[in-house]
Amino acid sequence: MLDLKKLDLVTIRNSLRKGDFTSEELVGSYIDRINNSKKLNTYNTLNIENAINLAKESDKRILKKNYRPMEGIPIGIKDLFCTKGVKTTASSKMLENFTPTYESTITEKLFYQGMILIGKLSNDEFAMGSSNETSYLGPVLNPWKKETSDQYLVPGGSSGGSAAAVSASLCPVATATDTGGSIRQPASFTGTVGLKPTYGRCSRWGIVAFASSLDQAGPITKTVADSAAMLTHMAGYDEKDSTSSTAKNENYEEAIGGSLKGKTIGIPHEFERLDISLDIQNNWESAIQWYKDAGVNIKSIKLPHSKYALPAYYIIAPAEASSNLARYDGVKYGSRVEGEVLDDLYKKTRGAGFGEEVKRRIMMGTYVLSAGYYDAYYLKAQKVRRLIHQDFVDAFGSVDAILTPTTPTTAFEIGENVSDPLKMYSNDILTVPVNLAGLPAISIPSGLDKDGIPMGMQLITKHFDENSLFQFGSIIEMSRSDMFQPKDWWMN
Amino acid sequence: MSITKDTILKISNLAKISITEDETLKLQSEISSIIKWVETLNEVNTDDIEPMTNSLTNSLRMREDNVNDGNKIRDILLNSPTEDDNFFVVPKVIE
Repeated sequence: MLDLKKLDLVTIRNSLRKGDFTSEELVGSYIDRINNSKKLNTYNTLNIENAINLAKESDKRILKKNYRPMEGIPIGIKDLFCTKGVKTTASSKMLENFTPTYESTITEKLFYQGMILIGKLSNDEFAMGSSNETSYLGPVLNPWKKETSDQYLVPGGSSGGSAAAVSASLCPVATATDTGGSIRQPASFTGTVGLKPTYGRCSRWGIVAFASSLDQAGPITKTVADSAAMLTHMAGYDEKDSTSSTAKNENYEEAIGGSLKGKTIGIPHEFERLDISLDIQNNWESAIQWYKDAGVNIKSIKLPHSKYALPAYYIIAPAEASSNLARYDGVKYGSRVEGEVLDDLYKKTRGAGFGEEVKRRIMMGTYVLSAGYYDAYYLKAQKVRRLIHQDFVDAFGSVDAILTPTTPTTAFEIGENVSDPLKMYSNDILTVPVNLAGLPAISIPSGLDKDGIPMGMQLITKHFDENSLFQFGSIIEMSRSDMFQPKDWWMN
Repeated sequence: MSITKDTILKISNLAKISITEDETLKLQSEISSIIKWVETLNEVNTDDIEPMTNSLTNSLRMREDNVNDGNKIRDILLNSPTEDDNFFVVPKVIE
């Protein structure tokens, strides 16, 4: 068996080509480790037989030196991406038996480049949540535990399964989606790298929709280089997504390295006043110092409307969700509860098929879009959204990147925030403004707090400037002192 | 603004979601507090600000309305909870 904890994507790619091990051995090792890690509850569905067969095919191609760019590399896919012939549940009872007859653009691209689907990873139901506790299939456990306590921690959400699986080495990389922080927050909670690309960079086609003007797919990985390698193969124009961008795609791995001397990082004045844990504040200061040491200028910037991002988001996202989730009607696909008349069938199906948080958001969205309230809430939020966007445009007039913590606290205990929606929502206070503005951002492990739990720093850059994210991001990776390897306490 | 129980029932009807009495009361209190919280947006002066629906600057593309796919009846019905003779089935709608 291979020591998977030492393997990141770039290492695996090189080792497979050199013949250090085969794809079949690698896939076998992951399956073995997954089987010994059931306790974490990261995978909703496994794809074992197919994965082994595909690995054998990849090994033949590698032997013939006829390999594709990502040949034979296993990947975990968030259970929100439709995968042809493999169950896609969005972690909801509504889709518990849904098997897509088509492939999402992102997974199609990755599989076309030679990647092998190991399984589908848990998430908050329909990506609505910040702790992976709203999954119909039960909570995912964070592979990290406090040194002082035996309590289980949440992995964050909504891409909690993706982040926990990469952190626990149950796949080398995973796909995820980010509507208000759903890639970056779980990455921060699990000591992994989470990238939310620019809105429009990666196709949304075939991804179960939550809030279409905010949703964006990205990778969760162990390293910044892996993140760049993944984006290279995920990004690109797709005519099937009407908001897909025609911006030039690049080989992002080439961006890493090179001097940052003379570049400028902005520190948002308003974020410094937020209720952020002391350890994270100190870590933020250390990160600022790392950039100073690299010859980067530090500048205080203003994002005056950022404090309105969270309330604006909790109008816009539920409004879009209430419209998107209208498709789950018990008729064309998904769960169904019979009713006397059609209206009855709809109501019973949706009443039984959706969980508590999903119902709350659909109800909230329906309310803000309903006659008499549309202008006061929905239109108002969209106007505020423009002001938030403009703040960033103004800030990027004088800085190359913005540095903030990813989250105000480290991972919290399972059950700690479930009874208070507003407290749960406040987790996304540092990540949501980025989605409203459509900007790219990355969360990178930057240290461990006093309890030995990972902290993450967030970098934000201009639209379509992911290259700078990787360039600036590698400084944190090189400067930090902690190791981001959880102990295998959950293993059988 | 606090939300009445009647409003919750009206919304659940609009959203086509049946909710229990317990859920109704819980949603009433939760949505009331969420609405109260989002009303902080009223502090912001948004006179003459255009609503922003999307962060992209380019407008949506037009394309020719050509058929480029089809003959997927089995695929389309594969996940249907009930079907009959290549049709989706619902309770009788017209008397």
